[in-house]
Amino acid sequence: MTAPLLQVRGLGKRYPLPRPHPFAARESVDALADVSFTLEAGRTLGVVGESGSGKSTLARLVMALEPPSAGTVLLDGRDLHALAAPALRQARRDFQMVFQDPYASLDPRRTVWRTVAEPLEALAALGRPERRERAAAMLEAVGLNPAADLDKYPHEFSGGQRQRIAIARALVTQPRLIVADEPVSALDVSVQAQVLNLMQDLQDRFGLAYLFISHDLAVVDLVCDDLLVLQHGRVVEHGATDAVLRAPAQAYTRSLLEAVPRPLWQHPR
Amino acid sequence: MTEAAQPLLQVRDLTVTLPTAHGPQAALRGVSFALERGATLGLVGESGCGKSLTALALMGLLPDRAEVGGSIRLAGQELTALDDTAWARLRGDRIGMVFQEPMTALNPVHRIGDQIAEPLRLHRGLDRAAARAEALRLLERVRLPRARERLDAWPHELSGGQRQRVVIAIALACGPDLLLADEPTTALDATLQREVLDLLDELRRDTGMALLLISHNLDVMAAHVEQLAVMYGGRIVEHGPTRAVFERRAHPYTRGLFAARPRLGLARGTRLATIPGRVPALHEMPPGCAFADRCALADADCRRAAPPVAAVARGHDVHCLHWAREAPP
Repeated sequence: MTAPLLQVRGLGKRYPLPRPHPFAARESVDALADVSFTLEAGRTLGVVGESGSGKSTLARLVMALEPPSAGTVLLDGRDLHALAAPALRQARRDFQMVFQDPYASLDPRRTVWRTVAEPLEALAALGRPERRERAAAMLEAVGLNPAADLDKYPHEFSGGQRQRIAIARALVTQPRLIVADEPVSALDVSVQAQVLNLMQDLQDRFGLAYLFISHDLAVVDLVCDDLLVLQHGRVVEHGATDAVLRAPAQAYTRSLLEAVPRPLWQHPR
Repeated sequence: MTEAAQPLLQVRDLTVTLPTAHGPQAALRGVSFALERGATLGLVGESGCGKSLTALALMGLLPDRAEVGGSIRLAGQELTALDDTAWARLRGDRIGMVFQEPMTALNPVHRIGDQIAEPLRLHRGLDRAAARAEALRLLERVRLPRARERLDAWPHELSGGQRQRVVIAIALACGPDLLLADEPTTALDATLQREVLDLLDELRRDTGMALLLISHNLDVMAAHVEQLAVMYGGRIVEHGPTRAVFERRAHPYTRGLFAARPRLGLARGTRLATIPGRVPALHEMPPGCAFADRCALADADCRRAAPPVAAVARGHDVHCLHWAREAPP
């Protein structure tokens, strides 16, 4: 039997707080505690919870952007946090990230092709023409026009097109896992629909797994096979999306569902 | 005419022309609506449709070189002709404002209490002690926990939801007739979003102020406003009771927005319907219906001139030649 693509075991992150006064003992806060799950290739796991529930901390630990205080992150059986820096840099081709704000996540002084090809720079074997070619192929895959768009700058694109560029950058190394932190919550509704459709098409085409962080339950219901509900850094509920949203076992999950706005005419106040 | 006989806010054929790299371009192209005292109206539409520009025009905060046409009357007083000083007297007094990003709306180098006291001292002439007492009452009114301590807190010491409560307290300080809320909860998670919007509903009921809510979120509109105006290309394309707009969806753009919206209960992997193309830039705005290039029902007539208003039902208008041709989805 092969190992699951992503296996997270007992993951925790503790941040120190400033001392209340010079002689006080240092206190700390558990941003994440004892989180475990697995994610198979080609599937989507949604992570939901309020602001401060630890969603983004989980993303940063899975992306090996900072070390955990406890636990392990195994990608294809390799412990990412045990890798030496050069090995981790090589391993990053297998897992990439898409951020919330496509205005902040693209370098305004870089052309689109250099932005999209950037993750390839860590893979020393590729020359410039080949990197440009791969960037063009990815732009095409996300529905942009490589012939016209490769040498443009981010300001020439709308928010939805920028998020497509960010997705092309995440895909250019042919990763197996994409960590997406609120990838559509800054987008208008029709653009959001386009990006959600694109992410699902790309998953079918490339067999991607998504760790999909969102506070929008309608969005996670649409794209996620399974859900992880976080509260104060701990998993309060974990299961198939249908089960979690249609028959929530925990009061906290029910409170998230109750926060979804309901029309005045169905729910007189 | 007496004040009671006219709506609180009457906007007629409002136009705003902005200077752009392509020369002056019309950004609002004839927006008309009315808002009664204590009533609620939502403006919905995508980026670039003119929602926020409408709000800025209502606050006299348009860019310096913008040209304004048409009329904005607040309780009978014409606002488009006001000078800066007169606008400054109105803003924060009769018109309160809540914006999307509470961190940028608050001044990081002033304490919370002083920021709430500022409009009270400016518009109401309260002295320092009286303004501080009133600021405390307002913080308690918006249910900020530990309000007394928080008077002396700095904005960075509060969470996003707490900051938005402070912004609401500032907006309410002088008991405005009209509250403009431009995407007030977009930066907040769903739970905080509901708390803040419920608070606005409650404050509106208690004070009798009118609410103009701007949001791209249709679900928020359904839960919080009685009247809904859908904007596209600098115009209102459909306007009516929120429930009627939700159920009839007379304008093809309204239908497109609804179809693109993810809804709880859609099967995993469903592809959402999208609206082809994108919102035209100001200098690319077609001469007729602004939506024609993205609309499946459009024909030569649509491209000739902006469609006139048609009545879907009493109080429910649409600007579309072909609205009746297709049943709502």
